Amino acid sequence: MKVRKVSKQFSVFMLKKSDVFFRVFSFFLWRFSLFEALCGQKCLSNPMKWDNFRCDGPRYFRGVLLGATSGGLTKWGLCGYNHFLLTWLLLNCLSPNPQEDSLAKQTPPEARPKKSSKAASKKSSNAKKSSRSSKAEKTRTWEQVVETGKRTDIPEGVWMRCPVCAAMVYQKNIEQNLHVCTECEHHLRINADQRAEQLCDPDSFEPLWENLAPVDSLNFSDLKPYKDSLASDRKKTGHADALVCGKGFIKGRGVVLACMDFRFRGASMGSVVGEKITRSIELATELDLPLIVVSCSGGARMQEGSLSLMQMAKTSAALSRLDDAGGLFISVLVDPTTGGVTASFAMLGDVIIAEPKALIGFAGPRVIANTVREELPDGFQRSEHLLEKGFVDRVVHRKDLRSEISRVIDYAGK
Amino acid sequence: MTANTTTSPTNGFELDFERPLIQLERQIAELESHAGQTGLNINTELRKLRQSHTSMLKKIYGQLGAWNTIKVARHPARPQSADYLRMCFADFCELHGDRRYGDDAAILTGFARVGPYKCLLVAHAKGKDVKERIRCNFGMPHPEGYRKALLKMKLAEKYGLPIVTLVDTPGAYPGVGAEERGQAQAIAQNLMEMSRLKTQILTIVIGEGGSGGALGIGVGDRMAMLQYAWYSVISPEGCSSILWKTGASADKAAEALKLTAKDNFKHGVIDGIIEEPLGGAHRHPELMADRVQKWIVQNIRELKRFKVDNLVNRRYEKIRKIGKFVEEQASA
Ligand SMILES: [Zn+2]
Repeated sequence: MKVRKVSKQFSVFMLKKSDVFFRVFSFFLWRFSLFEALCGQKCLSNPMKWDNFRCDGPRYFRGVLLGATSGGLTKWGLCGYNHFLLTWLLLNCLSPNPQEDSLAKQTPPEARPKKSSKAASKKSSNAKKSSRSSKAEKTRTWEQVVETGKRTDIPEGVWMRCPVCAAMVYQKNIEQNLHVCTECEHHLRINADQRAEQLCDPDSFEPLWENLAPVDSLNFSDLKPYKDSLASDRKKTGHADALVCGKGFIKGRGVVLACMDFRFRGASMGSVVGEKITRSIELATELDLPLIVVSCSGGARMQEGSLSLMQMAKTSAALSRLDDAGGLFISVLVDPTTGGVTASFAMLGDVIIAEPKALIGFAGPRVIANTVREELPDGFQRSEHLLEKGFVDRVVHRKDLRSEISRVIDYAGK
Repeated sequence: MTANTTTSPTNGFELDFERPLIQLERQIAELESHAGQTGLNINTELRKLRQSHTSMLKKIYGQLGAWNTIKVARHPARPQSADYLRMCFADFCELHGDRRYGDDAAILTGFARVGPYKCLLVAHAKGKDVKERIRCNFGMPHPEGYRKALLKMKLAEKYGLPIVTLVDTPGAYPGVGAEERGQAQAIAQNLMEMSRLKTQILTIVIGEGGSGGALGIGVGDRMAMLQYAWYSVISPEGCSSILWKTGASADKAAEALKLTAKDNFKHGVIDGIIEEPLGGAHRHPELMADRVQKWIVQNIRELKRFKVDNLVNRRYEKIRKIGKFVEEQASA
């Protein structure tokens, strides 16, 4: 093998026919990269961060293409192994530098240079600020370039305080860490869309039955009419009710996935949630796909009275049919899962997985404390406690959920 | 019958809205005893009083609000499952224990005969006196109760016996032990298994039907409520403390939850209402028991006509349909 130095940083390995190891290596590298490019499966481009790294479509494809080209070139002995390393480095270093990014965000929008002439006049008056912002614009990162409307629901602000360890952490870092605190591993609550995006392969989740909407059949009104609460929650979440369900792929395995959204009425189960869960179960039964339900809920929805109580029976009955058909149901319990949801489908999983330290129980801790009139033991009703008592199969960190779910799917042969 | 009306059936317990009624009842009783002692003929007087008593009963019970319905449903003299067991069922053979942890007195299970049929009875037990109430945990079952119920129901399935469940619970017990032994899992398991048990299942809510604790033995082919029973997703007190942030709005919550038999029937949650005698079941337990027995026998007879597989499918379809929502047409 000949090494030719092209420049200070870059050298090229020229492969000879006798370099069997490198030829075989580069051949596989090429094949894998091509596979990635064609199937949208990640297998090589990010081996170090495998699961906790999410990249957006265009950036991802660029990386994959780079990988494929370099792999191919290496295979033909035209280019060096360094080229591959360079690609890999590029991929990993392209993730934004949080400090520069935060600088861009901190700059108030009116201080940013605009294309109009008005902005130009402002520029002179606000020279210091705009020079800073123009610098920020120069160092735009891929994150900004491919930014879509997806993340608009995340509250503005760069720093946030972890509710458990009280550490100040970068919002961006938290997002990249799947909304798990970087300091104490506390699993922050995430909404249904984020959950589906985290669990499924990029862009593979297709929501179903989004047109089902709740009705106020009891004409319920507490301090606020139920109708108004529904409308405001709909505005807040962009969904008609507290469940997002549909078909998707998890590591290439087709699944029916349903995620509850705690922002909508505490993800309580009313007629719509019950119906959508039931339809998901029936779909999974019909297509013989694994069913995954990510539960987090305050229980059955009081505002729909006994109708929501009966949703417990409805979902459980549907699950009995899935069970009869030999289907696989993986129930994922996240903080908090209580009440009628726990007492129906959430506890009926063939395999029950819980996120660390999630509150899971039938009655809420306050109700229990009021009933028994004593302090509840530490860690009571938390995932680890349930694991100890035998009601949960596994407690799994959020970053491992995808791989654990796909492992179970493989073992079940679905 | 009239003798029944006049002797106060309330065991000294007065519901606030019944107070004028009870006064009248006392008057009648006094007058009767007086007439007995003196031998005076005051029949017309008595008849008048009784008539006004009946009309007052009709008036009060005709417009019983949700909150007052709950008070009737919780009346200490209201017949409980033990009373129905005595009056509607014969030859009761109690079966204890869940074979896993223990025996929960809050759920009563056993073979029994009702009319011409053999059946399995599963019922919440509340207890009559203080000692019994504590033993039964005030009708609030622990997980072992639900597991016991399921175990016995599987027996019934095996031997082709219809299952009759009597629901009367404020809810499943929210305690530390109950949680640690999997209250939620036990109820969930019951819901799933009851939906596919290959035998007839009848459910009657005889008093309180509180939340998952009631549903845990209440999934079946036919479901009825007594006229003044309540059945809902949460007790009005619980609902009030969550939604109104105070326990004091329980009456408003009761109204809002639409938990009466009539409302539940209207929303398709239950299949029938068993009418109570005038003035509630606690005034005429025997008459009530008679009606309950008739309903059970009639429905077992009807359900026995279906093939078992067919029955299970019909049960599924029935449960599957419950729920109210709209399918919005996509605007785009
Ligand atoms: Zn933290």
